[in-house]
Amino acid sequence: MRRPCVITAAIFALALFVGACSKSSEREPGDFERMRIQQRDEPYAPGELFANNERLRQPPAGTVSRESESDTGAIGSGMQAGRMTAVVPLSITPERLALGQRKYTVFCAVCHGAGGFGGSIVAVNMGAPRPPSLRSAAMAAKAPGYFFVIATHGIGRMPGYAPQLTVEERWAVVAYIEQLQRSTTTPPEARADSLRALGIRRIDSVLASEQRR
Amino acid sequence: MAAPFPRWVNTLARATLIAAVCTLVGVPVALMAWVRTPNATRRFQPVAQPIAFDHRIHVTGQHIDCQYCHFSVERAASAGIPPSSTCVPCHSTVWMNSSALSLVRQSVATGTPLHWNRVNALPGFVYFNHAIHVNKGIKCENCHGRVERMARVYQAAPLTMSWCVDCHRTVRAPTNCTTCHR
Ligand code: HEC
Ligand code: HEC
Ligand code: HEC
Ligand code: HEC
Ligand code: HEC
Ligand code: HEC
Repeated sequence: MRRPCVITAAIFALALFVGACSKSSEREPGDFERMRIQQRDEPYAPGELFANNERLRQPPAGTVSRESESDTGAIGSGMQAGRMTAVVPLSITPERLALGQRKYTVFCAVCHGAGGFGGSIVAVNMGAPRPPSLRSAAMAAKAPGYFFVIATHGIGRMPGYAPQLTVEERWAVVAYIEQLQRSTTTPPEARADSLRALGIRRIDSVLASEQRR
Repeated sequence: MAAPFPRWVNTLARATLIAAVCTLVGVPVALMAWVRTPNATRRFQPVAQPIAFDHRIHVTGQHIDCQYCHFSVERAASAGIPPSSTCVPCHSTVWMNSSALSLVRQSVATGTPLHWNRVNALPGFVYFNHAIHVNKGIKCENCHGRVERMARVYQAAPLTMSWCVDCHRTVRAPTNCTTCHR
């Protein structure tokens, strides 16, 4: 009767002693969280592996992206035979225009306004040079390649949007800007017909959105 | 022979039994209730950041879309935190000289990234993917709350496994373990 009690008490005491010996400060950091904090690299987390103390790597200086290298034609560069491409080199479908509108609203409307007239809140807050209207006659006269090159590399104060937008998305934006410009240069009835010819439905709402400032 | 124990020991024994049962049942129940409280899941606790970045000013005030800054959300697992160069076109005139933005200026000048503190964080054994959710039409506010009304971002959803799986059951998204754990 007596002996099991003594043995149990001894085991408890030993366990307590061993537990107290390893202070939490002596453990590896995160030892209690071994399951929650794993060795997998979280994006953006700091790390000791590389010299810059980041887990995301910077490409070495002078790196050329595969996308831009494999696409030196009209689609990848917006240039053809040394001049700006005069037509959008991808087919213009209603889906592509819808993609272009979505991406335009996110990435360009901030500064150039929802309808492309310039004068968004940000543009008003910005000092000169302000984001210009994309629907002026001078802008409408530019080739689509011009807008593609600017969307890719930026101009002056405006940054390039190549990291944010894929090549296809950039052309979709250009195609959408072209449609915006046409809505300035064509009378409303002819505009409705040309939208119908592109296979676009709900013409009224499209016409309304094109005039939004 | 005198009784070895006085009478009140009977009451004490009963009280001890009841207390033991209550503890055995109550402590787990209390713990289970506790892990579901916002305190344990760290919900609704605004996280301080090195730069007082305010989503209200930028999203509600300047009409900047979420994706302008969190641009990989439609095509990658991570929504991404904008690089400091994102801030430059606007802030080269607006507020650029203010001390609030000195860290941004420093980061752009030296090419070292800013260090923001995490707000929403899943444990390492969970593999979340933004692209599938956003492309299936789930809005940011379903999971992050109205970020455009937060001065400092806080975690709006519990981010527990039951939260994920409840939604997956209702929308018939996959619920086998390897969907989220690998
Ligand atoms: C951060 C604000 C901002 C955003 C966002 C922005 N731009 Fe600009 N954009 C400007 C500014 C500022 C200029 C004037 C640049 C200058 O002259 O220094 C400009 C100029 C331009 C021009 C040249 C106009 C000219 O005078 O020839 C084009 C074309 C253009 N932007 C297209 C776009 C497209 C396409 C997008 C979306 C992918 C876009 N911009 C997004 C600020 C912006
Ligand atoms: C002007 C750029 C910008 C815009 C626009 C923007 N954000 Fe952010 N967002 C940031 C920055 C910078 C951080 C990191 C600092 C912080 O947490 O406050 C951040 C942090 C966050 C976080 C927390 C990240 C974490 O660590 O868990 C969430 C969630 C978030 N944003 C959602 C949104 C949503 C939803 C919108 C649209 C309503 C939006 N953001 C618009 C720049 C932006
Ligand atoms: C599209 C333009 C734009 C972008 C991009 C932008 N901001 Fe701003 N931000 C503004 C404007 C405009 C204000 C001033 C608003 C006001 O005064 O009401 C502002 C204000 C601020 C303030 C001061 C807020 C305060 O409390 O006074 C901070 C800090 C700030 N921004 C940080 C950032 C950071 C960090 C980024 C990059 C992740 C960023 N901004 C990107 C337009 C922008
Ligand atoms: C189905 C729920 C859900 C939706 C929808 C969602 N998020 Fe998230 N978001 C999360 C979770 C969960 C995390 C934490 C991820 C982690 O820790 O790995 C997170 C993290 C983030 C972060 C921190 C950086 C990162 O990627 O880990 C940002 C920024 C963010 N979300 C922005 C957004 C924006 C902007 C949208 C809308 C376009 C959005 N989220 C839609 C659940 C969601
Ligand atoms: C608001 C509802 C909702 C919430 C909350 C939610 N999900 Fe989902 N999830 C979806 C939907 C819808 C899909 C797409 C299912 C489909 O149609 O393929 C999905 C798909 C996924 C997939 C990809 C499945 C595949 O096809 O392989 C993963 C991984 C995932 N979710 C993880 C998570 C995790 C982790 C959480 C919690 C942090 C979470 N989800 C929370 C709705 C949700
Ligand atoms: C829709 C995504 C999803 C699916 C499916 C899923 N889990 Fe989870 N699981 C999670 C998330 C998110 C967490 C993290 C919860 C937290 O941080 O509290 C988690 C946590 C866990 C944990 C650790 C709990 C803890 O306390 O740390 C275990 C164990 C687990 N899951 C097992 C499973 C098993 C077994 C299955 C299959 C029946 C499964 N999970 C399916 C999302 C999922």
